[in-house]
Amino acid sequence: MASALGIILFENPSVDVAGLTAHRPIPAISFLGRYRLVDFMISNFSNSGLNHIHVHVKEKPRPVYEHLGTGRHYNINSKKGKIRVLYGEQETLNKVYNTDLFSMMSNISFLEEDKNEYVIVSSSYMIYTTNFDEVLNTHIGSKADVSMISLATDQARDKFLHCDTLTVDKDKRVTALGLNLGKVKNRTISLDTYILKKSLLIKLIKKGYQTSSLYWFNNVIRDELDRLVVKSIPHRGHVFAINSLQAYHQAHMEFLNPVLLRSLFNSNWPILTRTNDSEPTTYCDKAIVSSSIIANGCVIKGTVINSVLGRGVVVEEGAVVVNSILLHQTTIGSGIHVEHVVLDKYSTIKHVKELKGSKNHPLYVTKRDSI
Amino acid sequence: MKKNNMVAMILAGGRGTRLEELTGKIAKPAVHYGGKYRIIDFPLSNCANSDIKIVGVLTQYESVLLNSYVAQDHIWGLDTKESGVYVLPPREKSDGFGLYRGTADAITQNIDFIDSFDPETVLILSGDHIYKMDYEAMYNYHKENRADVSIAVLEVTLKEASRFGIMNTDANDQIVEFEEKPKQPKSNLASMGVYIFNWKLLRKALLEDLDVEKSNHDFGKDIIPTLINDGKRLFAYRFKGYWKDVGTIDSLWEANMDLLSTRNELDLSDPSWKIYTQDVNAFPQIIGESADVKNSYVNQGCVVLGTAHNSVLFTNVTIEEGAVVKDCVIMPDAVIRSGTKLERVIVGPHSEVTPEMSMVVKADQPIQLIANGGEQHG
Repeated sequence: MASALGIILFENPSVDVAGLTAHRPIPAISFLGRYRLVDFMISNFSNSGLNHIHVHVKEKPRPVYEHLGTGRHYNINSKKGKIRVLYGEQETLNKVYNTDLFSMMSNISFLEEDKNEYVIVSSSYMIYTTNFDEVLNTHIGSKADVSMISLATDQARDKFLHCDTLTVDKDKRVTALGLNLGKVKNRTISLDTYILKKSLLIKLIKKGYQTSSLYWFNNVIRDELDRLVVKSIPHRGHVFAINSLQAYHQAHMEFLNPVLLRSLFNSNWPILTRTNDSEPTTYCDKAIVSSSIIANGCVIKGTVINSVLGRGVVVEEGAVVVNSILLHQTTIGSGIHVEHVVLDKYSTIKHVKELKGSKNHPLYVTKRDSI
Repeated sequence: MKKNNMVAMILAGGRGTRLEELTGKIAKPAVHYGGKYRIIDFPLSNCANSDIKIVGVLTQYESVLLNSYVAQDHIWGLDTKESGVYVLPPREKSDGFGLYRGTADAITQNIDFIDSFDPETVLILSGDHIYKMDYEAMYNYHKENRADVSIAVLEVTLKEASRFGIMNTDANDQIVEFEEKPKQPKSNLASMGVYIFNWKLLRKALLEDLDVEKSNHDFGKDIIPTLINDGKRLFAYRFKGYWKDVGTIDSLWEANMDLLSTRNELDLSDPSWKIYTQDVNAFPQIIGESADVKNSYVNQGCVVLGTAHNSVLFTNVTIEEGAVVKDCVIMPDAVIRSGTKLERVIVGPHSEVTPEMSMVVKADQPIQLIANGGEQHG
């Protein structure tokens, strides 16, 4: 069992799921009908046996507090373990100064008093499943000061835009950090996940904060590449970087592939989340549903193809939903056709006949809107 | 509800023999129902939603799973400092060990438990009925009538009445006579097995009943008739809404079918009266490319690649491509293999159904049960 503290940092400003992030921070964004983004990393931690977790929130902490609660639903020991929501209290209103480094610095005492020898620093917008117990052993065995989880991809033109890239030598040592601007096909992408000793993390935070109050944690690592041994641990498996509305929509569409679904969803690695006590979903007489992921509490009277429905969604008779993501408690009125749409919570489509985005530009409908 | 005005006691010892293999290893109140629930979730959620703080659950037959299930009082939000679900199987006392000999005896053996909360009234419930009911409204009715006992009743047809305990009442709904399964019913008010007693009175009646030689120690057969004879104020509380006692495979099937959109009399979608149940790890429902799901009630974790019509699919059920289920109730974690055809069948939890087990039951035949998976703890 890993003796490590799991930390989930907030993302830098290049990550913005336009529309959705106006109402909640990235960790609290709905995903695949019944989850929120943060569930995936917390489940990685919990399933790997980590019992202490810090979640840093940039702004709008309310939905994160509500969703995380006591952590009971994440299978975290309520006496020996703890899940904490942290934020840089003084700078939450100042976008420039509100960095992940500042947030860790302002909460440094929680790091100092933690009893774990190691820390796993990660983010909530990178969706993947991994066993951190094994990753930690790899890190310890490699004698590196810092390990970074990476993904070698040949899709860097279309995906992982503005994510960090790694240059890695033949000994897996990271020699440079860059940015994926989508110009080259093959890239080694950083999954924004770092494994290191807690004592080293504290040193790096203090040093980095003295260097510049505008620094983010990846800036500190970049500065130390010559002095520290930073190695890459390659990840095998699917990764989704939910860093734009298009990436959010695309990830959902890819999840509808049953092979991929099975690779991420298996009963040995549950994705844990808060229950909503919704009743099962009702499929009515004329329902036509295919290639879709559906949460509980929906009432489906119309047609749903290649789409993801959150809890309590209503699709009226004659309505057609294609390639769309309908969040919690949204309604599509009878006879209405929607395609490539992301419908935020509690919104209703009743008065237009048709609403269409495109694959690269999904149409976003704001929370509680009525169209 | 003021603190401990009313303590609820749920009778959950029932064996449910007529549910065949479904109750081979678990008590009837723990039987799965409605896609994600267990039957006992209904009285427990009703208690929680009626603001009742203390709930005792009297278990006896195959109680291990049921005991650990109801002990998780956080499921129903009954885990505040002043509330709790207390699991009460028969226990050894200084004067020996005794099984619960009847519904009333189960309460008698727990007089000390109830006394410890010093309640004004006690609400007696059954652990194997499916319904949504506000017990606080019934309590208010009890107080308005200055009743000694209030008994919830359902209006049934006179034809059905001979299957129930029937309350004969006066113009004010005061009960003048109780008849158990009368051949010639005089009224259509059937007892739902939901009673509110003034605790002092019930306590005395229970202790007196101990000395009655031929007593069955049963509420319907002994306690209620005695109290009527003694001239106590018993009132019938008319309940309107869905109520079902699922005693047989057929009635369990029927109760599940009642949730389909074409009927849906119970309506579990009301956000102000949710039915709470154990939170089981499950992915959302996955509906495959060639799936055909119509008029069905499907819970999270299901993977439907084949055809499901007029059916209730419970947590983590798999319907493989080319499998067809119609008018079926498929309980948690069951797998219906490709090429299987099922009609009017209940499939028990964790069962695996292969094409050679295909079964099409005609509409005039009793519902069939396939159960080869058993019940798993946890």
